Amino acid sequence: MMLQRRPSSDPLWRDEFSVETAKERYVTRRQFSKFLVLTSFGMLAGNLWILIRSLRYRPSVYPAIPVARLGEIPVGGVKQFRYPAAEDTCLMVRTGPTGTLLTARNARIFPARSSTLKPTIVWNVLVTTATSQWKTDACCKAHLHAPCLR
Amino acid sequence: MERQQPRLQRQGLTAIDGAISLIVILLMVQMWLLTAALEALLAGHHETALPAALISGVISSACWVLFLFVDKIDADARQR
Repeated sequence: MMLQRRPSSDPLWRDEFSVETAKERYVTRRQFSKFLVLTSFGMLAGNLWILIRSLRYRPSVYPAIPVARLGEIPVGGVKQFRYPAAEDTCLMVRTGPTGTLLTARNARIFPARSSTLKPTIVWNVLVTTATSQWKTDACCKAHLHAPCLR
Repeated sequence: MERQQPRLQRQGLTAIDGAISLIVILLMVQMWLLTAALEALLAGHHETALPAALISGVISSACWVLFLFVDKIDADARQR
């Protein structure tokens, strides 16, 4: 299959703007298919951009900070804190007395008057209380630690 | 009154219409692939970017081959 069009005896303008109905139909279909292929290449460029973004991605490193003492939060209680930045509001909930599962989620706290906006949840942190040492669970995605300070 | 088109020209138009239909179907698939890849990227799944780019390249190549087919039929019809 030839990669280039065969040379025509007619000039280009006569080929592209034909006055004959039969030829004009060929021209319109050819031009339409050209634009479709151009669109396909555009979407390919988009996929390549996504690939480049993925290759350049570097996961963020979250430092460990103390959040609460062992007895600071009562059972069923909630403590609000900010992590990793000042504008990121989080909540820590104590769900049980022993072997407590504390789940901190990145909750966007909106003013009370914004009734249509709800807190959004981004990631989970699992912290288990221990007797003397703070521990982190394997699924601690945000690397947030709550040392059991005494 | 429209002239009757030669039979071969009508066949050429039919073949071109079929090729354009295939290109449109491939474009729909590629469009879905692009949205899925972007959604996966925004969700933090970076492992889907490379397969999506490869498949998108294959689809674009298929579209390009179909366009060459359309161009060839058009050139043959013009020479008759």
